[in-house]
Amino acid sequence: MINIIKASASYDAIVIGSGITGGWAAKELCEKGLKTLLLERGRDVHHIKDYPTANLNPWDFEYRLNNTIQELAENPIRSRTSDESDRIFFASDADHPYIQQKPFNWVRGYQVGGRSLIWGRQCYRLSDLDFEANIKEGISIDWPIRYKDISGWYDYVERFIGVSGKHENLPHLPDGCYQPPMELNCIEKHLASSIKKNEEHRLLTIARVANLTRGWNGRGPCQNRNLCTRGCPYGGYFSSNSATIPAAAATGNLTIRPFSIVKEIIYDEKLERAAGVRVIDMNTLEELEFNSRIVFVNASTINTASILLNSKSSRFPNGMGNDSEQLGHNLMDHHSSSGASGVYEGYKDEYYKGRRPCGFLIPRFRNIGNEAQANFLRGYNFQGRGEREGWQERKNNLKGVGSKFKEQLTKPGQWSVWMGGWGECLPYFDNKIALSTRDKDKWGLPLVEVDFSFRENEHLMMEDIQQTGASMLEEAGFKGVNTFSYNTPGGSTVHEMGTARMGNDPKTSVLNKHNQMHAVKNLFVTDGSCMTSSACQNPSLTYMALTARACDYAVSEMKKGNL
Amino acid sequence: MNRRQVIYRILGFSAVAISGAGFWKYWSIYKKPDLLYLMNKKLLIAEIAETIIPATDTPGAKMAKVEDFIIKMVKDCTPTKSQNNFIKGLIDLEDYTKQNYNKTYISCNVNERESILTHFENAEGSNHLIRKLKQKIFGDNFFNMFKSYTVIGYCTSEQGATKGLSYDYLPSTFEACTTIGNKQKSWATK
Repeated sequence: MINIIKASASYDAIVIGSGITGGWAAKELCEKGLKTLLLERGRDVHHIKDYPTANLNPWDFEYRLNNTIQELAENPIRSRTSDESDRIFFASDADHPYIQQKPFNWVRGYQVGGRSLIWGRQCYRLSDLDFEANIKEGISIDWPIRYKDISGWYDYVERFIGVSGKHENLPHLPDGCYQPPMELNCIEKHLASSIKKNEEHRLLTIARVANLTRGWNGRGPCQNRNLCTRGCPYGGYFSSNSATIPAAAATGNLTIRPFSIVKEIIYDEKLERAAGVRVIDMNTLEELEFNSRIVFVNASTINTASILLNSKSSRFPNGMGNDSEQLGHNLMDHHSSSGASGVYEGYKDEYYKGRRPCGFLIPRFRNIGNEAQANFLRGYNFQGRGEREGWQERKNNLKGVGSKFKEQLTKPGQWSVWMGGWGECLPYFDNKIALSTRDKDKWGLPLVEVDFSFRENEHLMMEDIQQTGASMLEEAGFKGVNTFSYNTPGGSTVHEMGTARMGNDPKTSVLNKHNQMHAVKNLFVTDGSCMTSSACQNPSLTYMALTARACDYAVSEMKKGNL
Repeated sequence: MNRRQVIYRILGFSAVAISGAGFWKYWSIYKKPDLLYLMNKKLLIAEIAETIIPATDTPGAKMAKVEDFIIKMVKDCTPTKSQNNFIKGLIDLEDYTKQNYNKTYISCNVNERESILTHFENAEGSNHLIRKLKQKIFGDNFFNMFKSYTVIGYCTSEQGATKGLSYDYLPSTFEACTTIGNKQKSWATK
């Protein structure tokens, strides 16, 4: 089936994956003058031109945004998170199978831009509360960095992507460089003031999001359509497609190669470094080799680990850089399936106009300070939103038929708030991915096996989330307060991370404090797989900051002749 | 009782219910649905939808062609058990109308039609747990499905969204707190 063709071109750098971190790596490396090859397994997606559904109305869609039984059956994971309007940016389960040892929802975006087109856009910094948690509690291994090592890189990234948000002066959720915040609506303000009055150590603030409230670097502002996952024709939110890839391309140093599935990274036994990568062209099925001085692996946590595990040599019989046997292990994902909701009977004359593309945040309050406050380690934040019920909610709870029913149905319903807890997941060695020794995909590559479950600490946290959520709503006078725990499996928050962790000791970690592979110095991994613990903050901002930081380090090492 | 216990109890009860109901019931909910019947009943479906959401000072279900959407949903977006319930529900509704009014649904006046639909809405029972249980075992309830598809079809149609509701195609700005009057329609999209 396969012809090996030695590619004639050689590059200064190869970046594997064009999602949120691959785009950043490409931009940084190109801007620093490196001839960079950006490899993407999926098709090309150009900003604006390739967003075919972005301007459509609900009635323009055949099923009005409902999934068919066939789609549900063929693509059970994809159909959980997508519909007719944005399905083109989610990988098909049928075409890209994987093995679930336990239920695990692996949501993938196989195209140029990856999941940066469909991400949740929340941007929260980690703090030393997070970086020091492992060492203080004796869990897993210590992070090799602290907040001071990354804070400047957070600034750098935020200034480029554009983040709207409010300063709150919380040590454990550091403020960043923000555009003016989006605004809370009246029920959210009501809840915020109740929390301020009743809970000394808690606050409710507007989400910090990569949606622009002002024009920024030729993009935006956000038009408050809340149709982000279709791709934004206004460039109202940050994606690789709208921002980093165009910036990289503008240098003249970028080559993008779509339809390029990376089979393995080639190891040069003599020089003890990565020589390049071996790629399968999805269309021609040819096998190609590309060489470079440095390689950045940004294929997303599970795929990055699987590429490295598949990169075997006599030096690395169990996968590249896997001396510690940690590669593929310590898989984490936030849990976000429990919370509380309620309705509020007042504010009948108040409404809102526009569809704000974000909700509110109640930053973490558990286990902060000297006092251990909970029967679990770490903590969670609440993310939620307030709104007046519409036909979507009322179709099932409004009785009757005829003109009276119609009148009630088409009037704004009562105010409601839904909020869920986004909780930290501890790193467990046996939460892991591995390569199947039996099953292969249609390109002959081994299927990924995912073996993941939440444990006692996460379950205790989920219970606490329900109780604290309900009591905050009750204190604020909400009625019909209801707690929920959907018990969704791992992967559902789409924050998978941790399979090639950073650490100080090569015996217990895969990467050093610069996201550089301990054992292969010209190889860097800067996507979620580098995470030593998960914190509870949405992680993409941290991945981006670590990527920019690692690029800076890599190029300075190249200049010094060390790479 | 925690969530897990509730689920076990429901499953236990399901097993008893299914074995008791016997093969005929099994066949009647899993058989290949007669979708042709559905197409032939388009006019009836349109009239039922119009009873649920009638034309008033704004367009009703018929103007929004909700019947086309309902048929599409039943054909392509509804599991087999529920498809059969939907078709059986239409037949039951016609039978019930004939028995009680001695004419077809289409010949009934608005009051009669509303009484018929109210009968079917009330017939499903109000106990939340039992309703959920029945849905789990036998699929969605006919009238629930009908009403829900009617609402979705209407509110996502151009007529319904732009005239029955408020449709804000390009909001540009977000106004967090606005004061509204009695006439304010709810937003068509979120």
